[in-house]
Order: sequence, then C-alpha cells, then structure tokens
Amino acid sequence: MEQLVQQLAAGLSNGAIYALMALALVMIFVSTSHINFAQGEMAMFSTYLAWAGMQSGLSFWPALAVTVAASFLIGISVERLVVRPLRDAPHLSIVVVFIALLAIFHAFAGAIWGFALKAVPSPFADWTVVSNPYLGPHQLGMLAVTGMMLAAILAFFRCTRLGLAMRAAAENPTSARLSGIPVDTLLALGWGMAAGIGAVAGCLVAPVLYLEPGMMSGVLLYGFAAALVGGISNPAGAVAGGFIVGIVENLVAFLGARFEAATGIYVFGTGEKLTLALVIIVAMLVVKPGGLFSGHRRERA
Amino acid sequence: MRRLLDVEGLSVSYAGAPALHDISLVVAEGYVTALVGANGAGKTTTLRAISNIIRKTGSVVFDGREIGALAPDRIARLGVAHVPSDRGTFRALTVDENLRVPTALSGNRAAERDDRERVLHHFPRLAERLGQRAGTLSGGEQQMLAIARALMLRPRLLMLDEPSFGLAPRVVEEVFAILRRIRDADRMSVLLVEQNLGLALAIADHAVVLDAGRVALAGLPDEAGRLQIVRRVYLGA
Repeated sequence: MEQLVQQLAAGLSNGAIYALMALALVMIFVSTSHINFAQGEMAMFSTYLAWAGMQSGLSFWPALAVTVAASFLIGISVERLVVRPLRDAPHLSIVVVFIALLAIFHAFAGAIWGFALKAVPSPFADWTVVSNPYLGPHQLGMLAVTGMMLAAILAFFRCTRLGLAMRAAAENPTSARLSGIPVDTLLALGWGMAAGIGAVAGCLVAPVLYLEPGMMSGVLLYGFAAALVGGISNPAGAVAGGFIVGIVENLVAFLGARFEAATGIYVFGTGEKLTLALVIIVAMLVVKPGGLFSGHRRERA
Repeated sequence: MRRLLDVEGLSVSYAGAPALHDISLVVAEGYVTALVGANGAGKTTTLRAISNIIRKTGSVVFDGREIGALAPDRIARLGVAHVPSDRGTFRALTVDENLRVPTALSGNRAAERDDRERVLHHFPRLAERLGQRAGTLSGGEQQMLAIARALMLRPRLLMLDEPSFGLAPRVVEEVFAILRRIRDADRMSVLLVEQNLGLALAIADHAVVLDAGRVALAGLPDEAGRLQIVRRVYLGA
C-alpha cells in the first residue's frame, strides 16, 4: 500500500510536467489547429539556455526567468518567420515544417552544447522541511511550481482582457478580426506563451531526466497523450489529462512489477512506459478523439 | 449629403472565377443604403471586400481615407462594423464576454461599461442573459448579440449581412424594429444586405441592386423607384 501511494504521488509529479507540455500544445492547437511537433525540442533548447545561464554563474530562478523571456521571443520568431508564411499551406506541409523544426532545434542544441548528459541542479534541494514519505523535495517543488503556473495561466485566460481577446481569436478568428482584434499579433503571442510554458517544463524536469538533446522527446509524447485524454482543444482538460497520464503510467509500471514479483514473469513494467503513451494516443484517437470530457464524439481533420 | 463610404471599381474573384465586376457604390452619412439582389449576386462578397477579409482590387474610401489595404481589425477599429451572415458568435464565451471582445484591447473599463449599458438598452433580451454561454442563445438572440457586439465598436458605419436570415417572421420583425430604433436614435449610417426585398426597401433611404456581380441599378425606394427595383431583382429586367 505504502508503495502504491508512493507510485501515485510520483505519477502526480510527472503528470505536472505532462500537463504543462499538454497546455503548450493546446495553446497552439486551439488557435491554429496544428500540433507543434517541435514543442518538446523547443523546450529542450530553452533548458540548455537556462543551463548555460547557470554555467555563467546565475542561480536557478534568475536563469529560469531569463530563459522564459528568451523562449517567449523564440516562440514569436518561429511564428513570424516559419509558421505565418505558411498560413494558407496544406496541413501536411505544415506537419513537415514542424518536424523540420524539431530536427533543427535538436541539431543546433547538439552542435552548440554536445550530446553528453548534463546534470542540472534541483532548485528544491533544501525543501526537506516539508519532508514526507511519498515525494522527494524536487517532485514536491515541481508540483508546486506547476500548480502555480497552471493557476496563473487559467486566471490569465478567464480574468484578463487580453485573455478574453485570445479566447475570442482562437474560437472564431474572422469574427474576432471584424471585432477589431489584431488576431495575427495574438497568434504570435500564443506561440511565445507556449514556448515559455515549455521552457518551464523543461527546466523543471531536467534535474530528473538529465539534460541532453533528446530529453524532451518522450515528455512531448506524454504531453500529446495528455492533451488527447483531456481534449486537444480544452486547456483545463489537458491539464487534467496530464495528471491522469502521469498516474496511469506509474500505476501500470507498479502493477507490472507486482505481477513479476508474484509470478516471476515479466510482462510489462518500466520499460513499456513510452509504449503506454503511444497506446493512449492511438486509443484516444480511435475511441474518443474529442477527449474524455467531451459530451459527444467530435471528429477533427 | 456627405459620402461616408465610397467604393469604386471593386472586383473580386474566387479561385479565378469572377464574383464582382468593377462595382461602385456610395453610403451617405446618416442614411440606410440597402444592397439587394438575387442569391449569388455578390452582396455578401461586397461586404467582405469592404472589410478586407477577402482579396480584392479597387478602391474603398471611408470618411475620406483609403482603407482598401488596411487589415480587417484596423478597418473595424476605424469604425466600420461588419455583422457577418453567420453572425460570428463566440459560442464558448458568455453573452457579456462577447460584448466585451471589441473593447478588450482598446478603451478603458469605465467607457466599456457605459457603452454596454447604452447598447443593452436596445436589447433587453440580451441584458437578461449576460452570464449565459452565447452558443445556447436562439438564432434571433444570436443575431441581436451580433448587432450589439458591432455597436460596441462605436461604429460610424454599420454593415449588416442578412439580419433576417433563418429567423422566424416574428423574430425578424423584432430585429428590424430594433434596427429602426438604433437608426433613429444615433442617425447611424447603415449598409444593409438583405434577401427580403420588402424589409430592405421599407427601412432603406437608398437602394443598390446587384446582378451577377455588377451594379444593375441604383435608386430611391420611393413609389416610382420601388417597382423598378423589384422588377430588376425578381425578373432581371
């Protein structure tokens, strides 16, 4: 039982990261109906920027702040330089461009910083004050920071006038334009925000995963699974989806380990975690493409 | 008579097929101009071209200023409010949020509240439903919301695309009664696209008949002109 609770708690803290990545994906999907496959690599690149900042003497939080600002600008630049010129291009061309972006960020990170694993120190190392048997200080910190981020983002969309304009622009761009909303500017802003959210996710998860150019590819897969579970056009659902995927992932590994301990046969376990993400993705797309929280089945092109 | 909107030589093609040929029309300040014609004559296309949400050639002068090359949101902020035929409802937003979209990035909250008060005065039905999601409104209420949202831009020109479309006759009457009140209260300049000729001519001070993407006739909807307009729209002669 103790072990089960521990696994669930660990799932929750992983889920926080998936929730952030899912939110970044959803932000871009609702306004453009595209999945940004490069979201993970952009977050990884941002994490390298934070690491470089820390190497030059900054501590974690200032480095993170600078990185989020830089990532915001990178996100806006990507939208301006790469995505906007393709506004009227067919879906498939845009998918190819996103995959190209993924490769570009991956290659650049490798070329600049190398492919060797780099350790990123946890900013929560001294959080032992709130010690408990279930979560380590870093996991607890991840949960806390993610919770605050999510609350801030949801409050931004619910309560600010800019957030209202962004929701209007995402739902009906033409009508928003006719209502005087500069939709193109808001699209770029959305890309910037998604990149900033990804940067936070990358920096939070780096102390656990170790920094290397492939660090976020698995995380993005989970983020995608989370977004699909929660509904790819539903920000609050995506967040819930992140936590669900995190918990299910750990639960499956836990049950596999139990089964192995009891029977001596290894069927599934920690090695199949990534497979699980893919299974979730395919299952959601086939069975309920609108997400668990959608009232009726919705088909998306 | 002051020309508020002056459209000249406007042409539009959809995927190579011409939809508007070189049309010209004028909206006089403080008057209602009706744009009428058969289905597919190019009425909606004309409004879209003026708002610049489709590609076009030709000149559009609003209040003495060429706006043909401006972005749609810029044109809206200059005071050209376009109520599209699909009503452009933000379905996931509440009625109140729908009304606050036009002022979300401009103006202050106090002015927004005053404007909302003034606009809702014309639409008591919306005032009762401020917290409701706009997607749950009836067709007539969504049409009212679309007009109310356009008014929140403090427009100098209101362009309405088929406000009667898909509404029950009783609701159409209600919407047009509101439009008449708005016109009389604010001396609003209106460019009205309407399939229902009787409705359009009853409210208009001036009418332009489109036929197959060309201006076929422009005239006054008085007794003499009325017959000509009706014949032109229904019989093409």
